[in-house]
Amino acid sequence: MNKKHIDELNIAEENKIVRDNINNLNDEYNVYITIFDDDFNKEKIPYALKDNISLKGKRMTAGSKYLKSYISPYNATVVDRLNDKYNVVGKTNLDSFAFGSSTENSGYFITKNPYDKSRVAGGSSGGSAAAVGLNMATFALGTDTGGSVRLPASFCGVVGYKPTYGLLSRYGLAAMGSSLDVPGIISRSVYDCSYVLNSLISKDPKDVQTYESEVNDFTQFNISGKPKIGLIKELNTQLFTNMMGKDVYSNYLSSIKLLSQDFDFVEISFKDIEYSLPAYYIITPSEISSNMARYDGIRFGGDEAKHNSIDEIYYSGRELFEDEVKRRIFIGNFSLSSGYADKYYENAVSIRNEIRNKLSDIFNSIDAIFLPTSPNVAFEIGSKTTNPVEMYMEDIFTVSANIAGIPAISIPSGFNEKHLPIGMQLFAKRKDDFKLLSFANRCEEIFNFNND
Amino acid sequence: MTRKIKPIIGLEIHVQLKTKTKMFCSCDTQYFHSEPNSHMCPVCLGLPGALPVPNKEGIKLSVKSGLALNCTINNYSRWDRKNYMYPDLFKGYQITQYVYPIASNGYVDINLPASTGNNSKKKRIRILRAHLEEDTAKSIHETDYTLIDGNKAGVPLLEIVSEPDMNSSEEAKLYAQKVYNTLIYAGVSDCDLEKGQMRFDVNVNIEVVDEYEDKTITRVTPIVEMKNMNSFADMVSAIEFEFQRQEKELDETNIEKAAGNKTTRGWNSLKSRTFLLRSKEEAEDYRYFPEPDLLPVYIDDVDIDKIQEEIGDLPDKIYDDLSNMNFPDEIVTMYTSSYIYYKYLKETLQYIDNINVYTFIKNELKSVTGENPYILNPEFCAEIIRLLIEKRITNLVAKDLINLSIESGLSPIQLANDKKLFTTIEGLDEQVIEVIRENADAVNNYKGGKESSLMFLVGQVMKKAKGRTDPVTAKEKLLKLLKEDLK
Repeated sequence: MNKKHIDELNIAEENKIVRDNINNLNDEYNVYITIFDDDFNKEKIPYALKDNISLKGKRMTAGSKYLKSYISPYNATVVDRLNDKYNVVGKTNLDSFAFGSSTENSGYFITKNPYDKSRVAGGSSGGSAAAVGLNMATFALGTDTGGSVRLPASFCGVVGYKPTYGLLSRYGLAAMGSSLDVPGIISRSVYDCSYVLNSLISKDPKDVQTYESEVNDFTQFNISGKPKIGLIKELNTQLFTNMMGKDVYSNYLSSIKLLSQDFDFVEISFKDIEYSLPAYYIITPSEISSNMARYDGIRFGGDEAKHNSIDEIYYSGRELFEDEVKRRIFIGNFSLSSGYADKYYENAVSIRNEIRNKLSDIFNSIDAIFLPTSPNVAFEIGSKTTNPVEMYMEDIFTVSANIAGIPAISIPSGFNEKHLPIGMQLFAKRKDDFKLLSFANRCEEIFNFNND
Repeated sequence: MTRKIKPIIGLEIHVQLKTKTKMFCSCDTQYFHSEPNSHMCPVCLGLPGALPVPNKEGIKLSVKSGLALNCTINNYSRWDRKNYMYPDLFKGYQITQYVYPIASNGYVDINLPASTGNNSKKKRIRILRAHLEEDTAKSIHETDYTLIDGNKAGVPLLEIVSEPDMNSSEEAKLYAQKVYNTLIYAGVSDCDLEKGQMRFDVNVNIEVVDEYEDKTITRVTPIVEMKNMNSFADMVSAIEFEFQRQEKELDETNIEKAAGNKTTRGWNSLKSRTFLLRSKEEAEDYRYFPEPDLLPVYIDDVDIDKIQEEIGDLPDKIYDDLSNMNFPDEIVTMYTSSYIYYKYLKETLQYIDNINVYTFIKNELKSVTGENPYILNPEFCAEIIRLLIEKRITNLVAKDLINLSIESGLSPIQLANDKKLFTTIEGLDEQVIEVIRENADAVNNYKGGKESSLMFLVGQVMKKAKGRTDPVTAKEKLLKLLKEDLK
């Protein structure tokens, strides 16, 4: 993989490499759903766009057969902001509507892991992570609602960054869980990520949840003194050690040792991490059930056939929804329905508030939290598809950052004995993205991960 | 057995606020004569990835409405999603304010008409809440297909919910008209019923009290909601129809109001009857939850006060002011029910502050200008009134000047000069003599003691003078010359 920083690349050369790799590898790894052959631009850096982000005049499937012929008439804000320097080379595969952790829920195909084709690339931004891992793009944009950028990044041995909720605009991202969705960056290095981030920031009038960043240049990494990093005490309990692969757990422990030169590790208690997953899997489907209602088969999706009633139109179109999409709509509608909303939706919201408060307390005494990105390395294709809950468990370490709206990043920290990459995460407090990236950059230097 | 029936009526009034752009996007709201589906964008069309951005003017106009309806404006209000699927609701949910509305606890007073011998009396109708939401698209149902026009999707809509305080169709009508007038005067909506800018959902049921010799039985019928009525007359007819239908149904079925037995009915204006649309409407589950794409609305008291100051005179105040000035009912009614004429009055008063302005506009101007007084510039209207007050023109000339000024766009003074319309005694002698000569019969009749013939002769003089003389002067001159002639 090219070790040069993104601003040191020979752009024409980079375009050639990326294009050759796309031509040679896409059929083998199922990275892109749509490739823009004619749109290569030798003056711009080539990047990959997750196919749930709008690109004007181009098809956006969101990974679902339902939107197989939907052409977006407008650009997402993140795309607009990258247009000067960067060029989209293709739209990458994802779990249908970003619901999943492996791209196995894609309506098109399963993206394969760059390190082992029998394994998943992770999800939902699996195509974007594999594109970067396979040098089929200089970097990629994904979306992260519960770990969808960080998890596949860790499976593919690349950097995956989820900004603070509101730092980057959601305008143009097919909504999943609107209160948690953020665009994220998948890149070869923390530097590249920060460099791209510089073009994306500043408040967007089209997304009222965005705010103005106080930092303009995220590449001027700066660490003062020896930062305090929290280690979650509860991760050492059986609940989590049973869940975690031995490879991941030992990498976690050895990573801490490696980093101790530069960081001061302290133990913290974050018991609520246990409840973050159930809260997430109530709040997100609830918002999903509402966000998916627009897919009614009238303006897009559905078929052209003549139907006898409006219900027939709804049903015929929605049959195209993949199983996980249907499952989440059901769960969400149930969680919000009268008589059950108290028990499920309202309850999950109060857990979310508790987690937010707890994390904000924790960050009063420390600078960041360090934890694995995923309990396991990339798993075999098909090994978890029969049990959705087991699949959901892959998100256990990532979702609390979304629930709290805080920034998080996954950086490759090493390999297991099968040469499958492992990723470690940093969490920082809300709007502390600059600190997070500075720490991540230092960790990256120390890990000296060789992703060739 | 004697039976007493007490109707119970509550209204939900939907009003389109007159913002330039839609509530959550920048599409133009002036869609009335536009091509269907021409005022649309990714946001109001509900395309994947589009996000709503609240229209500040929409929020301001709802605060204004709330204040005009004597509501408390809430410093904190919040957006919720109301989830239901229907082809005219593109996102599959409506952005509304379910839990925390922008305004609550208001009222309007209605004037109940005088029953024989009594003066009219006031009744207060309480307003529970007013909340802001977005309008849906329009469904156009044809025999075997339905068309959708999205131009109105996303237009700001204020829903004003009354308490069930009305006890007759008349009261419901007066309440609806009061809200209608108040909002027009507050400048928040044109409330054009034909354009659907104001629609009524009417909740009706009746309390039936049967008094027997030994006992009294009170029964209340299930609530019926009639949706989307857009005329006061239809509303009254539908309510009246429901009173009878519900009484009959109660006698037949004995089914009383209970949780979950509210039904929805529509009004067929051709057949003059209501028909069942949906039963057990309360079973519908809107799965409300806070809209994650938007921030709550915070309005502080300073802003509320500022908005309050921007609200012009409302019908209640105008009613009191004009009544205190001892104007007759027709004048008071006109300026409290026609905003455009009230506005015109205020503007004309800017040029000439005189009590005659109130009557002139009503008695002289309105018959010419009809719906829109502004076809005559208010400054010109003031000029004509001034000329009248100064007795430089007659009423007849004033009427002519209204028409001439409207036609030419020229100032009445200039017109009066050019066309020599100022009142003058020049030539009056000749005119009177001519009239006496030409109307020998009338002159003889007068001389024979028929007083009314004098008025005829005055009219003839006026006619000959083409309005350039006033009747008093004409009469004086006529009497004088007739007297001389008698000698």
